[in-house]
Amino acid sequence: MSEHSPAVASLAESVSALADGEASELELARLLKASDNTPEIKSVWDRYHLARSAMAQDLQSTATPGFAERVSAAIAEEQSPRSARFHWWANAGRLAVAASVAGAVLIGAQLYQNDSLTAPGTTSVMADAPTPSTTDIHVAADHSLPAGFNAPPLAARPVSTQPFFEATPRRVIFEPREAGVKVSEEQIRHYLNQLAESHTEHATVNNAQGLLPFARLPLVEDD
Amino acid sequence: MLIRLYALALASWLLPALGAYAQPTPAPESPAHSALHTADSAAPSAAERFTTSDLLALMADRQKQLHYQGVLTYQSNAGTESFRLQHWVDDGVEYQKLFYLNGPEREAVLRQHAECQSPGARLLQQRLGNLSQNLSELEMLYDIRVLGQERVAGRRAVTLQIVPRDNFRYGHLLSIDRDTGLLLKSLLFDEHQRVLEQFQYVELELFNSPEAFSADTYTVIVRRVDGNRVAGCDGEMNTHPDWTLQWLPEGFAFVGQRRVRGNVDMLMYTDGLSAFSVFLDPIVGQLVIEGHAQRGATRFHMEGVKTGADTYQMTIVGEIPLSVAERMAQSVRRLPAAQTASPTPGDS
Repeated sequence: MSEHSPAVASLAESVSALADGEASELELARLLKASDNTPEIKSVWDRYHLARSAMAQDLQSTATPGFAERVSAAIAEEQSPRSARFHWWANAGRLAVAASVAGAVLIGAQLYQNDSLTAPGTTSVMADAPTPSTTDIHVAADHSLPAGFNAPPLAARPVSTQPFFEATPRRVIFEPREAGVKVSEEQIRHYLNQLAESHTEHATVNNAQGLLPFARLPLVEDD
Repeated sequence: MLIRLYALALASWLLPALGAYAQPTPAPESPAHSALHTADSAAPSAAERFTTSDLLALMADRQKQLHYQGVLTYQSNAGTESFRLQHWVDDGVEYQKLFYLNGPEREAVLRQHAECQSPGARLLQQRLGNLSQNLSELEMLYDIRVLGQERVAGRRAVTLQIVPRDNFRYGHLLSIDRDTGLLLKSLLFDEHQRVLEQFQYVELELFNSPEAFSADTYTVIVRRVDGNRVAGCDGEMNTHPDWTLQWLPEGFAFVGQRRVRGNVDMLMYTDGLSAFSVFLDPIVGQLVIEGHAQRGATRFHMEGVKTGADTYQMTIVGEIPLSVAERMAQSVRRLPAAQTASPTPGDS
């Protein structure tokens, strides 16, 4: 890294710290600001990650090109206090009403069924699609699982420059069938939350896991 | 009856005596443990001696006489949370409490008569039976095999892998405590071996008596589950549903209909390991919501259903693939009031 200018070298140190999860918020803010003006930062970032992955012997989790941009974009989005919540529905928003002849109001945006984290706007086929989207964040093999099992993707909250943030209770993620909503998502989530509680009573009593299924329920609503 | 005896015989072989598991439980590795431990050192490895049916029967029997408390984690794509779970039996009543250790203080409490066996538990027991056949009914739905042993929460456990033979349900990976039959770890995974959720004990303590436990709660947010009512032991369960699913994945059985949230009919189904519920909410002059939802391992499918002049909001909720919920939703039919025949647990 000695070929870098001193300014880049010092930023490179920050990149290294960030890659190790040890960057302070000040360093992070500096990096974000600098990366707009200094394209070398991006290549430094990529190289650090490649080196780390090689050392950790899991090269299959190297980030795809443009990863840094996506992290920056995610961080920038996260910086505004309003979106401190992990909000998947940035694009769904408020859509126009479209009542059908049968009286059913169809809600929403496009349909996707991927279980893992996917960016809004990604489509996938009806059956649970095996191909991960390019924004999936790979996790290293979980050694507590037998061979062949993949750990659930960790809740990947982008790094926030807030001193700390309140974890939101787990919420139902609703995907409407078609465009046009009259019922608010909040109401739908509340409704589904209620039904989930009744369903969980059934799962508790009729399956052999006792009260464990209740752990799935937040029992409170963050709205 | 035979199954009960079998489970009893099995339990008495594995434990000093069913219902008399009174000796204190030191750390499982200590030599002062039960006769089971000394038998182990002479016998072949424990994993070889357990058949899959043995293990599941042991777990399904739920060691209702045990009093225990543990700390466990629950992990899904929403993150990791931790809980304290307590289980005890007092005067013929089985209690369980799940206390949330993260976030706001919340608690769920389950109360059920020890003699009250839910339809799902009965179904599972039936399916683990069929001793005369080589393949139990459950094994026709799932490929079940012992993977080996592992150490969970400081205890020796045997790991069972339960892989569905079709794509209509999810698979399980269970780690069952060798000494008590308690479920120490449970994973749910989909057809691509992606883990949807994971429960895992980090600590478990057994007690000789239920004295230390209390069903009182001091948390503001509490859910009390009346196990007798949900299981239908109070005689109020509607076993003759008003609705039917003309398509149902093999092995899932209807186990009862309840009325919830005022006027919503709820149909309950299970295959012994996985469960789903169908809600039919009569809506008058309101809008029908159509779409899918998910939270962790739970899937929701919402659709409108019209029968004659009535419109219902139907929601299928369960830890099952969304495609299955969709397909079943399309096959929902209202049964005429006069019709009383309903599939009993055990039929597909």
